[in-house]
Amino acid sequence: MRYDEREILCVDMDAFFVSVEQASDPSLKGRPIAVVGSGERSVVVTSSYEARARGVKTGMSRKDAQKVCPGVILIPGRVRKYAAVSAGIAEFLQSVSPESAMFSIDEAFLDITGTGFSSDNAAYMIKSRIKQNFGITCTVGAGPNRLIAKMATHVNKPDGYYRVSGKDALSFMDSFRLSDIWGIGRSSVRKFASMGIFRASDMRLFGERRLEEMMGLPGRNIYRLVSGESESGIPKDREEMKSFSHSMTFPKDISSRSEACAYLLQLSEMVSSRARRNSYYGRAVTLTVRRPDMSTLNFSHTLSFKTSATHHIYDCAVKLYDGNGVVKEPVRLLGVSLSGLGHRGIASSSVEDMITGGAVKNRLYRAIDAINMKFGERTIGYASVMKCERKGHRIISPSWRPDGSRNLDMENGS
Amino acid sequence: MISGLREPVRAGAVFEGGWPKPVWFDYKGRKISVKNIFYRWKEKAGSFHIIKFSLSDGGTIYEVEFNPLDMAWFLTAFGEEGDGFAVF
Repeated sequence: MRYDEREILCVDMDAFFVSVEQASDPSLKGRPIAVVGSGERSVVVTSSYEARARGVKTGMSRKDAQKVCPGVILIPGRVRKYAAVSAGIAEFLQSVSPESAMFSIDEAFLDITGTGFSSDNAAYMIKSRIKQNFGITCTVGAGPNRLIAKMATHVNKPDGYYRVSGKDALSFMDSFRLSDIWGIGRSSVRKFASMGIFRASDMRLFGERRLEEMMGLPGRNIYRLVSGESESGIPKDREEMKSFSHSMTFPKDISSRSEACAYLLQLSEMVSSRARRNSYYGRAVTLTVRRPDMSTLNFSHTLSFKTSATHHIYDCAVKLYDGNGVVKEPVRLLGVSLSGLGHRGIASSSVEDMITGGAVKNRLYRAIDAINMKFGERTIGYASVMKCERKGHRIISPSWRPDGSRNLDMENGS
Repeated sequence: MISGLREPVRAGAVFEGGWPKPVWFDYKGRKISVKNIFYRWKEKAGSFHIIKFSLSDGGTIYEVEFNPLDMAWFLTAFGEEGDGFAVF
């Protein structure tokens, strides 16, 4: 096994949302608290270590959390605040190493090779500065690549540090069960368990060739993971987007077409403005519908041209809504997605638009986007959206980044 | 805890280290002296940032914001310490 001489750090904030709330109100420290979504039907997003010790788990309903932990303090998540703190941390980490990037809202990777810092010194400095400047603790893992650094954060959490050298990487990976290895999914773990493979060492004994024969390329990737191998470089937000999607769970199930159309317009605007801001155009529009019994349906339509115009996406979503009998039953969630993306297309002009004034709409979108970029999301928008009880993003996607195409301007839960 | 407010308030502040630091503000005719600033952060609002503070007068916790575009202060939440900024 060969590892290069890179020094990679993974910085993982401890119970990030909860820690920010505790820093904002220090009398919450040491108490069982849970951050929940803003709606009545929302669930626990994360909880303090005190609440976790009493059985509160992510995904639990508010009622269940209060049942297992009487007295738990439920706080609606304030995503804009967490995003702001995360962006501040990202900026600080850039000053430690330009080769750094947030991997999610509460996790970052840094390549400190060549910075003059040892892993131990960099980790100590990062931990103390994050505590001093942002009032929260983090755990730092260090290793020769991203996988080992990430796995090392699991050793001394919370507020800890652990370093794995290249020569110890293999024995370090052998200390984990497959289910605890970053990048191996639950279905793979179940499949391997039925074959008597539970640990990284079992998997290596099974062999790379047999894994590849069994699973193809994913099998080879899994073999790399159990061997402690991964990319050592720091991922930047330069990857091509495959789709832009937004969905909303409503405060109450909706049954009327006019209400649904107002939400479809809002979702189409969210999707299209993000696509326009990142210079993408898409051909395929997908409508997602979730019923109160949680059954989920997807309907798609492919346009004859690529677009990032709100009215094209909205028209398409409404046609899918009307054409598939969605209106007949109540709806819990609607989602709109634009895929089949490229960087060339038309902002607003279909053949029909050319006759009916597509150029005007182009200018209108440019003006709306410029105003919202300058003064904030939803400073100006469609009047029909005003009647939506819920507006804007209130959930942070796991893929959220402080900048780039995965950045969203979110609404607070309050 | 009452949150989701945006009430303009008259405030006194000192500016140090690139940050405004609220010292007092008036709310409903009462002058509230800031004893502790627990937390501060900058939220992006288009091309500028709104600066927010979580602070206390020694019993009640408040959230106030400074909008540098309007040079204006707003009270956005308040309640007893230990409740968090929850709304129930």
